[in-house]
Amino acid sequence: MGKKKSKKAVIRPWCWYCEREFEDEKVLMQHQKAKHFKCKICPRRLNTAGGLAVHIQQVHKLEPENLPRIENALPNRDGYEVEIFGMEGIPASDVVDYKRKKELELGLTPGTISQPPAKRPKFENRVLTADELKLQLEAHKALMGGSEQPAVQAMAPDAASGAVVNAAPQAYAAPPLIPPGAPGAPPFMPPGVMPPPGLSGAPPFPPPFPGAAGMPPSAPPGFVMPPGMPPGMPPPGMIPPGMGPPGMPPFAPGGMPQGMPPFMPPQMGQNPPGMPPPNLAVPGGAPPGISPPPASTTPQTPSVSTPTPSSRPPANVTPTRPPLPNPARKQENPEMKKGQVLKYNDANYSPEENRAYDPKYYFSPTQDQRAPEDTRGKKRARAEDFL
Amino acid sequence: MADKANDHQTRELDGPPFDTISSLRFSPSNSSGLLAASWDTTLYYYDTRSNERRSKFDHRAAVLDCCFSVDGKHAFSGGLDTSVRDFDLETEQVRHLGQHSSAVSRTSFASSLNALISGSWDRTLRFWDPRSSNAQIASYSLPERVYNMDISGNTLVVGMASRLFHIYDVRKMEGGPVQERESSLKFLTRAVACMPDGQGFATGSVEGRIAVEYFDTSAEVQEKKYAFKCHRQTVDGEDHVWPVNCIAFHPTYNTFASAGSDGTVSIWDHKSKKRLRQYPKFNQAISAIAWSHDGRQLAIGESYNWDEGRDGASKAPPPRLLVRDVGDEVKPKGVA
Repeated sequence: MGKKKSKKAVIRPWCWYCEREFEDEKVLMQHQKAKHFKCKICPRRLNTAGGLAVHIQQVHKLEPENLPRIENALPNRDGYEVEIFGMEGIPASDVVDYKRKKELELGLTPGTISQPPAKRPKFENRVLTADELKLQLEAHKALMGGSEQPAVQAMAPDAASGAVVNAAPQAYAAPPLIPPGAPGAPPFMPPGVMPPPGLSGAPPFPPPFPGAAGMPPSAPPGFVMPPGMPPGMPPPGMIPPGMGPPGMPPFAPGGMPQGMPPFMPPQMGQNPPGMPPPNLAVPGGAPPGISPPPASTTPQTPSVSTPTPSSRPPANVTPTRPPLPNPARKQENPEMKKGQVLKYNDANYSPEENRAYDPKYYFSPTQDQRAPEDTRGKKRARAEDFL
Repeated sequence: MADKANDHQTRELDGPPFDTISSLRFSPSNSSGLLAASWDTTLYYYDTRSNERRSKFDHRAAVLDCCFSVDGKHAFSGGLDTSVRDFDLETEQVRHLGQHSSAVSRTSFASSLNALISGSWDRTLRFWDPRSSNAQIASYSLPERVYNMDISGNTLVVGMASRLFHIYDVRKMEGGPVQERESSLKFLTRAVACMPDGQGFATGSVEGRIAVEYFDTSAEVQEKKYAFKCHRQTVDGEDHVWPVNCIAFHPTYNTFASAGSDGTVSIWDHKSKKRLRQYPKFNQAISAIAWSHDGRQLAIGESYNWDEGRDGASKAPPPRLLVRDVGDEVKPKGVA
């Protein structure tokens, strides 16, 4: 069984017809064939609504106006007008609505869910290590530095024109804005080839996002370092700032050019997976070897640091169970009789507790601090710090 | 064993949770409304008669328990994300009632108070008024992490780590527990269920054993308490002893069902100390069971229970959610 869901907000593939969620897109397609694209007259299952319509018309000689509605669908979603195939073809407005609904359910800040329901790449079929998660989270936070406003704008034309969202992850990738500080930046960069900034220095780290297939070997021609970049630093991911990697929250445009603390990428880049990253919780406690941030970016230091309190599990260390609250009450299982095999041996922790500290299920209490109600206020304040 | 699903009395529900089913609860008002909480971070609401999944509610981490409000219109959940949530099953609106400082292991609804009770590994019990804007009414600290909880009338039984038990009168929480007990079983407490007639409770441990205890502290009543072995299996001459994962009392007959990691469900008459029925073995561990309020259906959650840790998880078949229509086999013998 694959990993279902990282602790970050990620939407699973879902069916437009009935808003059910699935573990992966393959299952979703099976579901659609079985539940929605099945011919009522014969046992045939089609791949799409259009296919079903043509089948019914041609094989069963039904007039187009007599086509039965799509089975098991939500009201207003039982028509043939929209061509759905797995996650492909879902009207953008419905995607937005669905995300809002999910965010509400999860008690997340509006806009937190950003990962488009994408085809699940093979390498995601495992549990990310704490280190990888941390890196992703940092990259995510760096991008979150941008305001949410431009993201909405970026999506708006899409939704307004009724465009459909393709299953490809780049559907949500921020449009390639050219940063003001990079006049020579290429007019267009193919989305889907950029790892998040800051991860460029860690080649063994698999691209965590669908479509992040590889890196151009060098900076694109005409690429200019963003302002504020200390000389000698590697370009931050060779991405024109402002362009988020696919699958990352679409907050990047507008917020990134100036908002991105230039010291961030190298700081993370110097922490390849396998090395404990510096404790970002200590403001100004940059590890040796990293130049302190330029004065102009100082205000950003605390804002970068605050969202990473030390209560997050240290990278590379699997979450550990807390000690017994009262060691005096420690239990010892009586010895079993000969020939008896006790299947669960822990006398002091239930199977659920042991499971809760498995990395797959572990929920950090830090995430918990972002209590649903006050998330909004806190988040906003933090975003403002960046601007 | 695949024939289980074809057995005419047992139906498999479509769209089961895709990770361990941590808890099942039937609606108190609608005999086909079933809640299932799961480690896949979702709370599901099914209609067992039409075999339909009505709604689902996502959480940020595994959901450990759920329960209904007394009118069956709301559901509550608690889990690893430490939040206590309230779901309106009609409008699908979600409300966060508040938070524990560690995972919420159990939720129960006290119908007499119209209050939700949550128990947590943070060693507190908290009472919530879901209708009030400031939902948390009270918090009571306990000596140990809450593992199990059940309520019958005004009597609340809390099973904790270190084999501790507290028995409360929910109307007089301020006075502390009415009784403090140590489990009569020698192993980690795994399941607790109160008798619907309010006389006592049954508890199960990881060491395939169930104890039947009574609230009345008088010597002659206490003498009646007993424990018996169950959920064991002899394999190659070895006696495999499995945890008893869940106990549920039949709402009217005062018999109870027990489910174990050995993959069996048994019906017991605790008065006559007899096993009334053992259902054919299931494909894997049974992690949760529940009776419908009319006692005509038994919901069975078949899923891996982490008894063998992470290693066992990869070998376990996918979870299934089964509903069995029950008849007179769950009735004590000699009752009309």
